[in-house]
Amino acid sequence: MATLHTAKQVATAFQREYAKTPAKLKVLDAFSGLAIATALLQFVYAVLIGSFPFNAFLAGFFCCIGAFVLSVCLRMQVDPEDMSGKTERAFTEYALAMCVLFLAALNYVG
Amino acid sequence: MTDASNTPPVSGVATTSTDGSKKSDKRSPGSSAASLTTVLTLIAICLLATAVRLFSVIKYESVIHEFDPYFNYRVTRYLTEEGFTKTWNFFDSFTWYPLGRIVGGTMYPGLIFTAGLIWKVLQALRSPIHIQEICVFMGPLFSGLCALATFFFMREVRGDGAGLASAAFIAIIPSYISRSVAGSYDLESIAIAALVTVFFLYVKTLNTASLRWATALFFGYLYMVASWGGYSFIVNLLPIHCLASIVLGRVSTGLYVAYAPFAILGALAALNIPVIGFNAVLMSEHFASFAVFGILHAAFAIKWIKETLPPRTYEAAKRVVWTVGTAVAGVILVLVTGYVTASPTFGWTGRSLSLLDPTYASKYIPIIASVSEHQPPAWSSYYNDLHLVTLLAPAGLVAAFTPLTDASLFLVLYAVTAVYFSGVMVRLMLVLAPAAACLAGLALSEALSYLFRSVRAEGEAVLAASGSAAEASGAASPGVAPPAPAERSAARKAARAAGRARSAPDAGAWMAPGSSARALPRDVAWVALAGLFYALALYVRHSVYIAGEHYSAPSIVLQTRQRDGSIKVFDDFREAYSWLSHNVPADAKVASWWDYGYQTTAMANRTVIVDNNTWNNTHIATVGRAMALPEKASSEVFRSLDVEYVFVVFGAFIGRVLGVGRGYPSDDINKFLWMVRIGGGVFPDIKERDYLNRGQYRVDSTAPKAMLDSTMYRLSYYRFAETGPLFGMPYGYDRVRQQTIGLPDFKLKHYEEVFTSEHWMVRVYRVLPEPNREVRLPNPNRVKAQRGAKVKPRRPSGDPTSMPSKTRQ
Amino acid sequence: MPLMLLACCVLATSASQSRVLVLMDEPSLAETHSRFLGGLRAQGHDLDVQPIDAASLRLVRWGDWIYDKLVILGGRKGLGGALDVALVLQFFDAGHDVILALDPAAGPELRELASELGVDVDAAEARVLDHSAYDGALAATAHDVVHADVSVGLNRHVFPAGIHGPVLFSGAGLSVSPESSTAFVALNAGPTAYGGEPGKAVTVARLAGRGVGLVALIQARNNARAAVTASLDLLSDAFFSAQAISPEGKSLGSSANEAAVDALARWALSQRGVLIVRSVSHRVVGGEVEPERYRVKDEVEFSVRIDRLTDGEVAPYAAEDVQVELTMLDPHVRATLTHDGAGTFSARVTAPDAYGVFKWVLSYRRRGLTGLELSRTVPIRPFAHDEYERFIFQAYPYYGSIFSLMAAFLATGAAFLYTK
Repeated sequence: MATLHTAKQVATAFQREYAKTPAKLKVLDAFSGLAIATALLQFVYAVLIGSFPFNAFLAGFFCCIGAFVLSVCLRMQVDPEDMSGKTERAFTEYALAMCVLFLAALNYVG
Repeated sequence: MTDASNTPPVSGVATTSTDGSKKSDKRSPGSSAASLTTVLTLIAICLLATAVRLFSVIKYESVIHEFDPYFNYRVTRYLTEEGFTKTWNFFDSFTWYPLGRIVGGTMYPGLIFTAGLIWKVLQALRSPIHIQEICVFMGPLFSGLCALATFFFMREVRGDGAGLASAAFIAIIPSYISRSVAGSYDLESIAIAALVTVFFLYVKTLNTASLRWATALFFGYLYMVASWGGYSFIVNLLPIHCLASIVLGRVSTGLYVAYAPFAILGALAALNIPVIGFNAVLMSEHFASFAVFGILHAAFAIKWIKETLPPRTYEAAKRVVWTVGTAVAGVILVLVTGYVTASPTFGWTGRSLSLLDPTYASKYIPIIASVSEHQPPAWSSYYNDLHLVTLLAPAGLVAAFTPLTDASLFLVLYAVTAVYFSGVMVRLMLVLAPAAACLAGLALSEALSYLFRSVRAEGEAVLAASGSAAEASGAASPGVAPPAPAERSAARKAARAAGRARSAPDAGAWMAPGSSARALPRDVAWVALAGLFYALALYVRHSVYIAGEHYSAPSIVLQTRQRDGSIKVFDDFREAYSWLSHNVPADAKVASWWDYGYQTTAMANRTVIVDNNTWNNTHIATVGRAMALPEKASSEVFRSLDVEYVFVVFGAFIGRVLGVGRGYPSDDINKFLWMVRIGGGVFPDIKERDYLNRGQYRVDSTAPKAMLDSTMYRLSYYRFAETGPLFGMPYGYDRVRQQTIGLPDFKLKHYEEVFTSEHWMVRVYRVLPEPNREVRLPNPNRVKAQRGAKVKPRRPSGDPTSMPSKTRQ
Repeated sequence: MPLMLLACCVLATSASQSRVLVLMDEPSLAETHSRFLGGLRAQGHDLDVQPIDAASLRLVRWGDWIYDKLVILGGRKGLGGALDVALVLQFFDAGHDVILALDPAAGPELRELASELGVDVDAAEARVLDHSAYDGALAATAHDVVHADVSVGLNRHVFPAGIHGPVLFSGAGLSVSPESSTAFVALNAGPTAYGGEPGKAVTVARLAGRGVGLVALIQARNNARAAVTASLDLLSDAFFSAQAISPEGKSLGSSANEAAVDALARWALSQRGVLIVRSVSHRVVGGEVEPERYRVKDEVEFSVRIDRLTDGEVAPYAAEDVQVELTMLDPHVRATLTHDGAGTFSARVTAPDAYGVFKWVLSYRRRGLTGLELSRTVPIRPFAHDEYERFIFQAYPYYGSIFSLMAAFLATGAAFLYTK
């Protein structure tokens, strides 16, 4: 019970703090969340249905995890206070990395 | 004499590298002259690295060396003739008859496609160079690139000076030369360059925390994975570094950007290479990477929550995270443990397991243990292969700790693991070489700059002061660029070190490693410098000597000095392969021990039963068994495999030719025990002890019957005793074994000698077909021959009494 | 059809041209065995009759065999001229047929020849004796002329149907190793026969009952044929024209010697029971003939045309027991060939789901017929990287995930760049 209570407490505190995050980062966080959710969904699907085209599963799964990881990288580099050219450059690199990721995944999927 | 011609440029380079540091000392940091010197030095080092590997072409000729390169060469030729897609799907019916081999799916394609690409580019440039030349020069070319990569790697770790010194060391380190001389067209020749490049990119990403470099790291790793099975070293080393960083509290954005995308994208890269495929997620070698990936996220999650939440809530959150995290980690641990223990090898491949447990291979996989380069190295080979580097590397290890940066921590971990692996297998000395060279370069550059500083110091007092100042500054503000103290002489050095080392914000600190900050007296420094240069000169001399004398022999052509000093060339292998290619039907199958499989397919262009890609133990065991069985049984085995020709490599005759030395010790009789062992591992009718005389391996008259009856013995020593006595030794004296053979006179019934090379090194036999008639089968109704009718047509050999001579031919 | 006719002509001519060297102990044998020799001539052989020990004898000249077949009658004397056992064996191993009719008292040399062919002849003194199936007229006291029956044994490819009456035999017995796959006894003695010296008591008979071979036939691995018997009388005019008399004095009709010996000689000189392979081919169904390689699970077809030669007549062979295997170390697929009545045998199978260098192996060995050993090598390759099934239904969610993520990435990118 106590744990649940603390968890609630933490959640509210977290919400409060998170509200301060700039919108840009929230978009990025949403994308990360989507990627993780897709990855989990695929994992559940594979467990339930069977991982027969194993390469396709791996490609899909790793693609999602990879997207999440890269987004986190970008988020770390983005300075919430300063959204100038540095961010844009970081984003370009991020886009490049994402393209490579998609290429690798598509090459492997089928 | 070869030394003399090469030493000057070499030592020239060595001095230039130090000149470089000196000059950059005098000029302001980052000046164009200093960087120009660096670039020129670097170019010189690359040229040196390439040039030192060309001895084999100069002394011998432009041929492909050894065993594995022949396979690579053959596939490369196929690539140039048939194109990329066909090579990718290349099903080779010339090897492993009748199993065949899916070459495209079982090879590391990096080397072959690189050579093919170079060839394509040269073709496009209208340069009609033959693919063989490209293959021959791949090793030297890539060792130049490896020196470059080492420079950049060490520059990230410690700066230009260390980079140049390391590059100079790696350029001529004998261990690496052994695998990358011209003609040694092997995976390792490019893989070491790729390995160092991956390390450079990793460290670069660590230092810059930039996704650009992370992407470059992906491509570097992709190339590495495509090139060599040694990629599993990387896939375990990087997690170790990551884990160490977390434990040491060095969690930073750089670490995340370097490691996390690598873990995921790297796995995708490995998955895309057919030879690895699902292994990249299913084998235990790769689990560490994912486990550390999880731990890294946990660490960052905690850090992030800590930053986001107010301190009091954080405490609560920490509890929640710990509870949930432990539960999840527990479940995953149970699942993984279940998966891993389900496999007999705990999910490890045999080769990896023999690295973790050095006794594993000799216990369970004789095929791995039988390869000489999989044996643990002798102590002398450390000296031979690393020389001065062995001495300098420990010093470098100490230097790497002062100060410890992310990059130098990586270097330390790399060196430590590489030392362990090299202790398990000779072959992995190769992985140690770059680590040792980097550490040695680090030590050398530290030592040189310290000594030069001492030499040029105006006075001890000033130096001491500057030293303590630097120490103070280093200790006080490790995160800030070095300050500019009044004492210019010291500051220059500090600044020089920091100049190009954008990576190390606290680079100034290393100038003041505690007590050593005190400068030496000038004459002592001079003596030390002289000693150091003498040692360096020795190193260069040793490396060049080793490169020229030891590692340039293509092993397919042998050279020995005769008693009178003249050089005798043994070209028996090529003679025999050429004989096979001209005299044996094109579809004939040729059997030999697997060592010669690649060469036979590439040079004799005939189908072989087993080759150096030892993927099917049973098939190799079948050949081993056939060699161990008596003639009749073995000919049946060979016939069942459609083998028409068998050849053995025999070294005892060479001793006769030369009159000195012990012949050619790596012949098949000396490998025979491995054949028995491997054959016996699969077929229980072969027992090793039957071939040993009370545990001793003998070929003389004390040899057991199974040994004397074995096909290998018969094929090797057939008619050997007829060559006459040898320098006072009895007939049939085998110099290699230093024994007189036990069964000198016998005839072959199921084999027919068809070719023996000039020095008897290769002896080719034809497996006689099944006899046309069945003679003397057991018949209970047979009536014994009557008086006077001594009819014994198939008498045992060497029995001249029984038959009318007319019926014999 | 024209091809077949041509082939027949070629065979016929080669048969009529075949040069046979006949060696004899005594010139008188030519008279006593004139009907046997006449029979050989009638089969289309060109006989060259020579004394066995003639100094001018030779089988080979300038490296060429100058005879196609060899018949030896006798053996008391050794081989003369350039001949010896080893040369005769070479002759045989080179694919030439040999008939060896030994005098029971032959010397060691030709006995050795027999044993090299895989037939063991009884001791020099021994004769085949049968106290209950001897010939009442020829061996009323010695019991050393015995009756044998060709209808016993599995020799339908050797003896045509319709040979009746006992075969008279006088000579030594023979035996063949039970393990032998090349030699077999075509004619054996009755159940009460044994090998022993006439008039002497026998304590142990090595050869007894049906185990006593009278005529042995050999077909070596290269399909060269030989016949071995240790009786000259079997082939003699006297026995050819004799009336068989039972021990009780009853007439059993005329002897079947002539018909039986004629059949044996025809078989031994490759005039019957010969299978001829005309063409072998294999292909992927609907694909080119003899492709360089198959792919796993291809539908493949093997076909072969087999003819049979019987007494100079070539006719399409018909049998239901011809099998073909697709082998790599072990047979992976085995199929029985079906034939179309015109001699073409074929089978259609699915290539195994295993890659490697496979061989079509047709191994057909039937006693009395030419052994067929055909093999055609064809590697089977795995699927190429672009030949696997694509767009598997079950994997659609995975494809979807990647593309949805790409779309989401584009959206996020836009949002990221254009939000403040």
